[in-house]
Amino acid sequence: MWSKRVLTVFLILLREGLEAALVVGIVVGYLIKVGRHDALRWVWIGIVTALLVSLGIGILVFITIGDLPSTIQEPIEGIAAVFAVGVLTWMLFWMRRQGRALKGELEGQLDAALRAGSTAALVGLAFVAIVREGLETALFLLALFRSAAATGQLSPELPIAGLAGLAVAVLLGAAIVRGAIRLNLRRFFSVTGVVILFVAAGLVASAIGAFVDAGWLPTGAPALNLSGLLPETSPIGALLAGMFGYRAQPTVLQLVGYFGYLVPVLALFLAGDRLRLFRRPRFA
Amino acid sequence: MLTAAAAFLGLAAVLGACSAGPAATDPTGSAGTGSAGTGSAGTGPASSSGTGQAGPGGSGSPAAVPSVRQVQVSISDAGCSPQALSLPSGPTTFVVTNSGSSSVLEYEIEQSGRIIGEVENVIPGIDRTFTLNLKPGAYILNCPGGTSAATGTLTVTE
Repeated sequence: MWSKRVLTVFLILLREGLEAALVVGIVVGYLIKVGRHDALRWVWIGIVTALLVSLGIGILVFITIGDLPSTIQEPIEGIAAVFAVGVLTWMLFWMRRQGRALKGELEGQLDAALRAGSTAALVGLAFVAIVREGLETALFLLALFRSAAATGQLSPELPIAGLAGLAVAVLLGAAIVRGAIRLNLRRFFSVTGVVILFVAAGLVASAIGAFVDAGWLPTGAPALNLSGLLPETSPIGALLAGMFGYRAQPTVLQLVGYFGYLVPVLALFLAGDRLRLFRRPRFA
Repeated sequence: MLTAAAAFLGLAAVLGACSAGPAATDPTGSAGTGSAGTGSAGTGPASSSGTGQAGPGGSGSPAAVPSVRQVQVSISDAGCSPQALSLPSGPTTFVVTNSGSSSVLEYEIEQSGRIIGEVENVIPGIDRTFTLNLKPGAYILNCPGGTSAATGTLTVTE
């Protein structure tokens, strides 16, 4: 019984942490890749601020009202997802443009493309990616710690499982950064681009889900039910849910949102990519 | 990141030690309403809760609202329990307990196709609460992933 509970806690926090780790990993990998260490510093500040804000508000809510009402939490998650989709989409096509520009330019010249406005957008993206699930994650962890401390004897397995889930998410984010650094810049832009596409499409579905949970959108019956095949609470389901917004019971609205974003944007992205395949990179 | 986690651990340990609120139930799940049958849930008078329940609007003011009623409900692999709930109107705090499911972790209440209150990530041993100001009418309970009781009904009377 308790081992099942431990696995559930681990998977919940892995799922909550993955999306942020993925987005932050892409932003950090990108900035390292184009040599913008000055912008990177701001991103780190954004990350730490986001963690502190999540934890601070989480503690405040936890000791005053216990749980954050979904009428407050879900709109925050939904609006943050919409913002993240916007910045990720812009990043996608902006990176493709940079990929194209590579044929005649040196890597260092990419710096010029990253102006103040775009730095702010990337810092904002890292911040929002963390705060989006950060508050809920902080509240959940606090509840785990309280339960561990309140059962008489110290039973730390739940908070440890939770922190382990977050740690695995962070390690996956770090692996993405390392992998990104190894790729040559052109490959980096293509591979990252495809990952961004699927993350952003998942965020569109998540945003719709959040607005439904907030009561802003009608619920609607699930369009299909994959709970028997691949439940969100299974390890693979949780991984897919955290990274690409997988839902075992998506509504019609979520499916329309997911594919309504993915198909046209993917088509645009691939059309540009195929053009580039015929050009040989100047350096690799 | 690691230092943040360490700081987190310390802070949370302090918190856990000093606030043994009502959410600290035993891991076996102390759901009073075990059966999934029809019937009104035990709606005791407002308990002296240590955490201070929020008002209907869920605003940040922790001022005690003495008239908030607490209702115990639970989720299981089957879904919502009880599946048919009947309550009088007024401010109500739903205390959601997971009686041992790892596949059903959510409890939602919807009206006219819109969710008006919900909790997610409810695991056995960690109760979660949400508060609504219930008006008379018919509502739908939703416990996504449940087998025989994934949906249920809530009837609110005057």
